[in-house]
Amino acid sequence: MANILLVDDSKFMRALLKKVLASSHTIVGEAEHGVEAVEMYDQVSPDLVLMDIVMPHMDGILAASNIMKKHPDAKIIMCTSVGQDEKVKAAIKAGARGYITKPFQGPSVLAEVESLLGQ
Amino acid sequence: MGNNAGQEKVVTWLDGKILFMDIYAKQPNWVQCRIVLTYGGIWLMYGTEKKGIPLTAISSFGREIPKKQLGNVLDYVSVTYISEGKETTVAVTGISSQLKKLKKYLMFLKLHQKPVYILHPAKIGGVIQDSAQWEQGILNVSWTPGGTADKLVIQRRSGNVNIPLSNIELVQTENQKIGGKPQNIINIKYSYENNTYNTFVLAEIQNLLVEYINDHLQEQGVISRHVSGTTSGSSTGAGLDETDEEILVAIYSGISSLEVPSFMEGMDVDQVESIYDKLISYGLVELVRLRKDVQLTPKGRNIVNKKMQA
Repeated sequence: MANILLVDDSKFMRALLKKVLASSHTIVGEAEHGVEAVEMYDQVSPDLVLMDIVMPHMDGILAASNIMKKHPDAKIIMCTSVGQDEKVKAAIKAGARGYITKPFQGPSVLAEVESLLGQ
Repeated sequence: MGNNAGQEKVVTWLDGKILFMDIYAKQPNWVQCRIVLTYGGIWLMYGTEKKGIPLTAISSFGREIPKKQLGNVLDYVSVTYISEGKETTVAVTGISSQLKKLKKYLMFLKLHQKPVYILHPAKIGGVIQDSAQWEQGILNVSWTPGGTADKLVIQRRSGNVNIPLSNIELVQTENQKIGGKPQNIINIKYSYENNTYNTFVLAEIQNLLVEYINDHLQEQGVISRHVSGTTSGSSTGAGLDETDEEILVAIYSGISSLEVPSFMEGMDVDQVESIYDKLISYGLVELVRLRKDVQLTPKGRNIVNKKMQA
C-alpha cells in the first residue's frame, strides 16, 4: 500500500481517482494546482504523484519539474486529456515517469501505478 | 483507367443524377447520368458525354455541396478528385440504397489492401504504452452480412490488429512528432475483449479512413452528422449537463452504477436514477438489470426476532 498525492483542479477527477485507488493505496493529499502540489509534496513525501497537466496558477509540467529538482527520485504519473500527447511528452522531459489519458479505466490506472511503484 | 467502361470489370452501377460543384451557381443543375463503378474508377455517362474518374485521382467523399446548388436533394455522395491539376467535386444522387452501396464500394476500393503505418497499442485503458513502436502494415476492410461485424484488420509483422467498427467510440486526427517530424495521424479509440485501446494510424488514405469510420458511426447513431468532421465522440450538444457527463465518466472509469449515488457528492439515489433514465433514453447507457430495494415485512421481522432468541 503506497502513499499517493492527487493533483487535479477538478474536484470530480480527484474524487474519481481516489475511488479507483483507495482500495489498494492511501491518498495522503489532494492539491488543486501546481503550486499547492509542490508545497504538499514536501509535507507528505508521497510514494507517487498523479498529476493533471492543465491547471491554474502552475501547470503540471512546471510542477513536475519543480518537484524533480528537489526530489530526483520522485515518481510522477501525468494525467491529461485526449489529443494532448505533445504536452505529455514535455512532462516526460520534465521528469514524469508515466502518463495516462482521460477518460481512463480504473484497472489500467491501477496497473500503471503498480508498475511504477514496482520500479 | 482505360477509356471505355465496357472494358473494365463493373463493381456496381446506378441510374441517377449528377452535378458538378460550382460555388457560384445560383440554382441546382442536376443532370441524368448512369454512374458505373469499376475496379479502376468511376464512369459518368450523361447526355453524349462519358467521363472517367480514376480511383487514384479521388481524394474525398465527404465534401459538402452548397445548399443552393443542391436544391431539394438531401441524399447524395460527393466525390472530390484531381483532374488536370484542378480539384473538382461531383455530387451523385439516386435511390438511397444504391447510393449507400456505391459509397461503400468506393470506400472499400480506396482503402482495402492499402499500406499504412500503425502504432498499436498506443494506449490501453487510457494509459500510454511506451513499448509500442510504429510498424508497417496493410489495411484490410472486412465486411460481414448486414454489416454488424464489419471490421478493419491491419496486418503487420508482429501480428494482426482487429478493430471492430461497432466498437469504435472515437476517431480523430492529431498532430504528433514522429522521428522528430510533425505528422498528422489518426487516433482510433475502441473496445476489444474487455479493454479500451487507442491505435494510431499514419497513411496516405487516412482522411478517407476517418470518413469511412465516421460514416459507420453515423449509421450506428454513435455520432450525429454535424459533429463528425475530423473529431467524433463529443457529448456537447447532446443535451447533457455537467453532472450527466460526470456520471458517464464515472461509469466509464469503472465505478459501479450502484456506487454512483454515494460517489456523486450531494446527490441521492432518486436523482441519480433519474439521470440514468435520461442517459438510457439518449442511448448513452443501457439497462443491465433493475436493482431490488427491499424492506422487511412484519412476517420477516418476526423471523428475525425468533432467530435472535434462538
